[in-house]
Amino acid sequence: MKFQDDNIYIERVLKGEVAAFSYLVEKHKEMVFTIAMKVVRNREDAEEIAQDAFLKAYQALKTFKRESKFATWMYRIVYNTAISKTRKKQMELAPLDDIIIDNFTTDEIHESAGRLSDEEQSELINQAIKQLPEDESLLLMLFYKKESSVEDISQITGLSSSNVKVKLHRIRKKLYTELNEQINVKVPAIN
Amino acid sequence: MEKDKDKEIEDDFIKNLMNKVDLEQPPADFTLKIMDKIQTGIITETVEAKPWLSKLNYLVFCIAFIAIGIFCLVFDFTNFGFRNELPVFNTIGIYLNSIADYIITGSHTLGRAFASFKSSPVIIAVLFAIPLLFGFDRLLRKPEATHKAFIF
Repeated sequence: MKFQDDNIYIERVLKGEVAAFSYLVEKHKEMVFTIAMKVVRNREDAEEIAQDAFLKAYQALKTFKRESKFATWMYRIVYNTAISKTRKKQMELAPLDDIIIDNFTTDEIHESAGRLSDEEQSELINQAIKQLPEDESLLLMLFYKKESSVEDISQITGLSSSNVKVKLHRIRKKLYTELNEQINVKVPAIN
Repeated sequence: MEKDKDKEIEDDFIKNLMNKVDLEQPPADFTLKIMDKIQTGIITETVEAKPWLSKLNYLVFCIAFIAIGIFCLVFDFTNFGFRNELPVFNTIGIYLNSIADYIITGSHTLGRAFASFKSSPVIIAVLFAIPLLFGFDRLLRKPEATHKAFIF
């Protein structure tokens, strides 16, 4: 389904066309649900949180000033709702060992990954992400999958921009470590 | 310079791989459930009705209504005096008769209108039923009940 710009649906909802809100839900439900899942780690709770977040967004739509993207605003609502649900649990990353990345070169990883099929690459990245803590994979999802900017992520999570940058850098390194481990398991099996 | 280029390649590599990551899938009826809740909220808001009598006005109305009712029962409009034949009102009647003599001075038309107004179980029941009906109405229109759909 091809969606129009969020602002078009927002205008329609504000003019009284309630059904137009369903397009906003359809467009953003996967990421909203993913954010909730990453925080609460339970499908039932995540569904409840995601629904609550959309209802809150609907109620507060009049107050949405459009200084940020609707997606950023929506993700912040679901993130805050989920955090409240998990008793204000804060995102904390365990310090990462930066030396690990030095055990191999990124070229080796690129080369090895290049030998894998699309399906295998997909499995590889999904496995590597599964090994990451949920809060770290959430940052990755927001940054790479939804192409949210560092400022957007900062608004969503409440972390400072510099903190987001540092965390992303560390997570990227950690992901490389995971990828290397996954590739080492996969590539010899192919050869 | 070399380091920046490496970083860019790394970033593109991860970005390319991240495109292959699937997002979590909510249940199939996810959107429907939300829209149902929103529609329910709208209907609830539409039927919302505030009680047309505030709590204080309701109390004043009830007291006034019952007082007027009791007054009509104990007051003999034909003779412009309080009835003494009812045992319940006997003492009150005697006491109030003296006051009524001073207050009521003329207009026998009013007296004729209430001449047949006698104490009976039906009249007493009606006297208390009407304020009770207003009270019941207040309970049915309790505003808190209509807001429940959107309390988070």
